[in-house]
Amino acid sequence: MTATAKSVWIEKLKTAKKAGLLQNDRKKIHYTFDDQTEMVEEYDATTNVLLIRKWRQKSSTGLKTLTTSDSWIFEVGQNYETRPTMDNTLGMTESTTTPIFSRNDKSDCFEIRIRNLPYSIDTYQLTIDKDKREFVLRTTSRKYFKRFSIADLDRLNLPLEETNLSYSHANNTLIICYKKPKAILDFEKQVHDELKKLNMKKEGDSDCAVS
Amino acid sequence: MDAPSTTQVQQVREITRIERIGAHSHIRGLGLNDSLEARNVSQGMVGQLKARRAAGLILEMIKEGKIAGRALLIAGQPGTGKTAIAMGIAQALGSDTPFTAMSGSEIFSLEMSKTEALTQAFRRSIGVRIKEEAEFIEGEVVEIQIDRPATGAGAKIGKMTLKTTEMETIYDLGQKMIEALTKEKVQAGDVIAIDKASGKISRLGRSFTRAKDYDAMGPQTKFVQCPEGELQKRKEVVHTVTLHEIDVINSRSQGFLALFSGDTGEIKSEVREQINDKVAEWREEGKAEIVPGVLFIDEVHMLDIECFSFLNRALESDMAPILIMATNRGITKIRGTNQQSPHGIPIDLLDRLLIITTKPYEADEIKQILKIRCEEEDVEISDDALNVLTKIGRETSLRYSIQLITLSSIISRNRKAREVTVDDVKRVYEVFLDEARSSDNLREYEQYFMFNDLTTDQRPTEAAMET
Repeated sequence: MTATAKSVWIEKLKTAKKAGLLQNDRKKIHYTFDDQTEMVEEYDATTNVLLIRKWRQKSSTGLKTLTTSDSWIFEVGQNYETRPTMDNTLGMTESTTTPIFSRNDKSDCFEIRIRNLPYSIDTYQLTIDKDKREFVLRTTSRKYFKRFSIADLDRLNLPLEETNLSYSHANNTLIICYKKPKAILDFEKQVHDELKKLNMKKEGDSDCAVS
Repeated sequence: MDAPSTTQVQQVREITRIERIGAHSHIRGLGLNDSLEARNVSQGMVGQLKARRAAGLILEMIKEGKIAGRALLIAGQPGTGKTAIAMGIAQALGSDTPFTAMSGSEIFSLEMSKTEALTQAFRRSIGVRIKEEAEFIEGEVVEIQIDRPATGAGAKIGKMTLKTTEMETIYDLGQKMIEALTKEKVQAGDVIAIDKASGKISRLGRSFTRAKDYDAMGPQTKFVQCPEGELQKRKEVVHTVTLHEIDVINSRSQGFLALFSGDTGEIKSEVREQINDKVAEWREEGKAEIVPGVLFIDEVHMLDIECFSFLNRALESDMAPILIMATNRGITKIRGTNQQSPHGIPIDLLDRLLIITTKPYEADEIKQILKIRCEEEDVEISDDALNVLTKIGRETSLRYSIQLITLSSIISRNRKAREVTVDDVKRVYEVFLDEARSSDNLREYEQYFMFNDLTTDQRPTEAAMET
């Protein structure tokens, strides 16, 4: 089962239109899939650690309506621009003291950092909802709650194991680690080998060829 | 935490404006019974039984939503309830069916061609019901705090705390959101949902945990549980947007901001065609549903011959809404030509119309209407005064006597009386002239007015120009 899920995803990556760019020691790869969905990955050029993976979905209907937006959704990493400014259309922004959720991977584990969480470590309760394939973070003070999933595990259809999970708290930040299973490490190696074949444009090259 | 929140809420309350009373704000529907017969006095409507029954039949046709591009003309003397009937239809349709009201003279603008203005009005009146996944912020309001700058001027800023059973988040509020919250009268303890895309706020009810024994609340106050889980949710919602809104969003890179600024300009016909195709496709796939609405053009004789021929063509489209027009003209010139025609509308368009007429009101109907207006404007009036007003209404015009209500109530309030009496009405009647007395006055003192010496030979041509 895992093997087929893996091959489906890697086929999808292989068939996607890819464009690569090497800029500021970052390898940036832009994928366009058959359904016009776009994905951008940024890797550290020396360590090959994934820094950013973001998605942009074309609305299924093709036409814009009020609720569809064409902004990037970050799976890994964070937007360079800090926070949306006050003049957004909603007229309402989260206060600067609200927790910020982001995923920053390490080479051997998926790491989730939630900044601006001042509560002590015994406040947090981290459980796994196996039916929905989601991690559930609760606080006993009822101030913060989050359901999240790690898309990489879903793509390869790997089980969520509590034994791989650990968390720590320091400097107002809760750090959640999920050790990468061997299947993930193998798979990432395969992707890197694939990407090596891709023609990377250096910064300053004018045309961005699509291969 | 409770004490500061209540004081803040009072601040919110004191800037809430009361709704103003318009000429037709007493109308809540067409006043028909189940078999579509008009009740004599109902839902703010009085008399005009035939016209209202006809409007009721049209209403049924609109509700079925199958027939496109029918048109209705309401013809009648001034002040016989043409606009009231149209408003009644709008009220009876409810908020989910688009109803666009415009005046015939609105289409003459320097920024937009006449046909563009008409097309936009047409497309505003066609709704598309789409199922979409939308992001919501849903939670119970713990506290709203609005700070106004000490100088009184400048932008207000505020903070709102929302919570679910599991979490709590503080939001910084901008000017627009503060206004929206004030308008919706959101207080601490309300459970609200905010659509992230449009910023629309819906009040879902009050939280059970805030219910106290001695709370003063309206009969429609609904108590709900505090939402669970995360504040931000994705939900599938069904909402109605008009074709015009879709046009605007897709015609600019700027997106829907143009909708708020009102600066839409002309929309390319290619964009419209593309949208029509797409909407037809959605409909076939079952993603969307077309809701044909109503376009109401008041004073339709102000349209000119080009607009009329445009209407002829536009009504043939299967995306056309139901068109309701109203006019108070008899046989008169069609604007833009020298041809005479009934209602100032060309015969070929008249042929496509269903025509309802309204008749002048009877004395007892005038009395009923005045009574309803008194209730609407919160004026206590004695029976005698009402009879006098009725007499005035019959001899001058209904509109004039309606205007006297408010003014005479001001006089009665000045002498600290609870009720408007005949004397109050008399005094106002003496102070303010109606149209007939003003004309008499003009005729009598004609020679003392400015530019009078020209009028003797100018008068005939002027009369000819007036149509």
